[in-house]
Amino acid sequence: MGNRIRVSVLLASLLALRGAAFAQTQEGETKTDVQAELQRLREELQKYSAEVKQLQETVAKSTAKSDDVTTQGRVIYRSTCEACHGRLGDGKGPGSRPLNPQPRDFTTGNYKWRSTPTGSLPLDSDLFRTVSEGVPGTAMPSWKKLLTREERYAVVQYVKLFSPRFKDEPIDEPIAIADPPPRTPERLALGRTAYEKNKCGDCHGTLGKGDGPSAPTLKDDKGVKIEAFDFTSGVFRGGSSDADVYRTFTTGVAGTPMPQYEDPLTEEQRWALVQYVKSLLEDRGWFGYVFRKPTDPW
Amino acid sequence: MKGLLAAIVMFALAGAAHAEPYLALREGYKCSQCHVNKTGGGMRTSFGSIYAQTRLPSTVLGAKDDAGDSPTIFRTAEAARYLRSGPFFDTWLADRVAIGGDFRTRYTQTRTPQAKDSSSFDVQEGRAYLQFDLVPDAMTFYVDETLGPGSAGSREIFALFTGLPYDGWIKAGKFLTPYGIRIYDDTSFIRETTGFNYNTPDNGIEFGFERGVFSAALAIQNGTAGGPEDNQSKLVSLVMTHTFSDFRLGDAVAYNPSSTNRRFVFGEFAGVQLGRLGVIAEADLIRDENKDTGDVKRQLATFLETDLEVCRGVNLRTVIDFLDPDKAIGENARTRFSVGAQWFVTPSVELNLFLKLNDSVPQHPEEKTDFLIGELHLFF
Ligand code: HEC
Ligand code: HEC
Repeated sequence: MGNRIRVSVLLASLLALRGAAFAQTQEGETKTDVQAELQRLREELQKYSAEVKQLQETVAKSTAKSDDVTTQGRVIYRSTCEACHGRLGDGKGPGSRPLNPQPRDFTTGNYKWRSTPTGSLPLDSDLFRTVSEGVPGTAMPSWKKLLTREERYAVVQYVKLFSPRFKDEPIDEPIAIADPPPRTPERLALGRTAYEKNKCGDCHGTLGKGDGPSAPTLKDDKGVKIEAFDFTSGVFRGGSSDADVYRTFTTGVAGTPMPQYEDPLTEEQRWALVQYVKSLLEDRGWFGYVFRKPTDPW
Repeated sequence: MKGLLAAIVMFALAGAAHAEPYLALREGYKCSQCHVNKTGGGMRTSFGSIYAQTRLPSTVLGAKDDAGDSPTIFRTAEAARYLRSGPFFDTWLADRVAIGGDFRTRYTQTRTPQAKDSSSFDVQEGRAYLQFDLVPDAMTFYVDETLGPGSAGSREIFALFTGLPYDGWIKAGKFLTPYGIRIYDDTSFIRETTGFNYNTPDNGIEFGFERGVFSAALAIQNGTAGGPEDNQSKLVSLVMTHTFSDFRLGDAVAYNPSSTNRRFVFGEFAGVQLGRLGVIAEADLIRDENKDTGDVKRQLATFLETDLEVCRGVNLRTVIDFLDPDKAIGENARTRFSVGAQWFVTPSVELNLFLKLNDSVPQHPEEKTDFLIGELHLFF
């Protein structure tokens, strides 16, 4: 009797496991449907800027003063951000110690994921996107399900107060991002050549595993060890759509050794690189599913 | 015989889950990252509460995310202080006062070879936590209050002084003995036989510090929990842990003399995380020496847990417990095998399903009891 139970439990858990792994690959396969993806990307790209614009208009029209918005932001910040980013916004909250990468220090005004050129402050919609989506693969959570749009907008306004730069500095125009071109073997090949020519592999590794020869020496602006991103996971920190990856590496990842490639590359080369690094995604089957750190989204 | 069975059932039921070291292992955190009580268990810190709401659950039921046409309302500054429209639950009542709680209720089905199957519904625990930061980053008053089932009372109640050199702390009052991994299950042999579990808080003082990957806690307590105590000698326990991002290793020792007995407990524990898969192990040697006769009894208890994060919010667990209740006697060892699944459905809600299969030795056939447990856990 006891044995029967044991065996059935074992079988049941194996089945559950198999099911989960299967669901994962299914999801991976449908995602490569190019047309559907293009459509989704276009919508996603517009969603956050449209939302922020709408929110800005509401604030302008409403009786709430901008002070009210930042006060609301502060209430949210205290309970949801402070544990990591710190009361003073310096990234040294009580829970920040073991985190790598460390929470952002908001006092510098430097942000990794922007649609604006290198050196510029980010747009509200950039911060709004990060707060909504989180930074997968790091401790930064996605807040889109736990905070309403208004709450996220308010907390972004509050976060901006930590750096005087937002008061004094003009924000540059965002870079233009065209519709992502379709995937073709020629473009992939071009991407591969650009990857080799620009020595991306020095840091990211020949196969994109983040294990290039310079990888162990990399440090961010604060002198903290930083990993060169591993492309084989397929989940990008600044967003995983083609347009997101294009934006991330065109505007540069501020405060990190990741070089900024706006000028020396043509637009065609950049899209080619995007497609190439995304093609490095590796489906390691069972093994990869179990032994890779999960970045399951909401 | 019936009494023994009842006792076993009681023990199995008392095994309410409290801390989840597998989560600490998964993230490479120390216990203090998510628990106010530095050595783990009980109330969650603000980081812990955020983690529990953002990283753990499968989804957020009732989230109004993409409701693009929902009316956009910005509150006035005054209103924002009191009104919150998003589902995030804030545990801070005021700037320096936080609350927390745990509630568990269960359905248990019991199967023994000699008796008919039985089943029951029980409230496992109702518990409220209070944290008063009297001096920010320096002095905290902590209360862990049992509301039920049974009589109410404080499980833990202590003053915690933090911010000492080397991130040191001093804890004074009534608290759980720092020893080994504070796993969720009091009925596991490593917690039951060592006597250091959630049912045995003790009065005393604790010193601890954390330095880089290293942390240590030393406690001196009355020692009443481990057996008869005459207040002439004290229980001393020490636990030391190295915590790396995917790996941890720890040692624990405890010495508890009383007028009739001298108890020495020694344990090693470790954890390894490989992607979605975590393995936690502990082994404890318990040596009891009768002061009058000089008789020595040695026990060995081991624990091996594997956890697999199947997908966001779902964990599959297997546990193998082993106990040799007297190393001098052969063939009396007991093993227990459990499998289960935990599902964090939405923030603050966890559903657990467990099957515990107990082995027995020929002398105690009644120990061969299997349990099927379904549990609802609310926490904040
Ligand atoms: C559990 C810890 C944690 C919490 C809570 C948290 N963050 Fe973060 N946050 C991080 C970490 C870690 C990073 C850095 C990620 C990186 O550099 O890869 C980060 C980065 C950011 C960034 C920078 C993105 C960029 O482009 O550079 C913003 C903006 C941000 N967080 C806003 C917030 C807001 C607003 C909240 C509260 C609603 C919040 N965070 C809560 C850990 C946290
Ligand atoms: C000097 C080392 C270095 C070189 C050379 C380099 N990178 Fe990076 N790259 C990094 C680091 C470090 C990061 C991680 C930044 C972070 O996560 O904060 C990164 C991040 C990225 C990201 C962002 C991933 C995300 O999470 O969104 C992309 C895309 C990227 N690199 C592409 C490239 C490409 C394409 C090249 C060559 C044209 C290149 N990198 C060359 C160091 C480098």
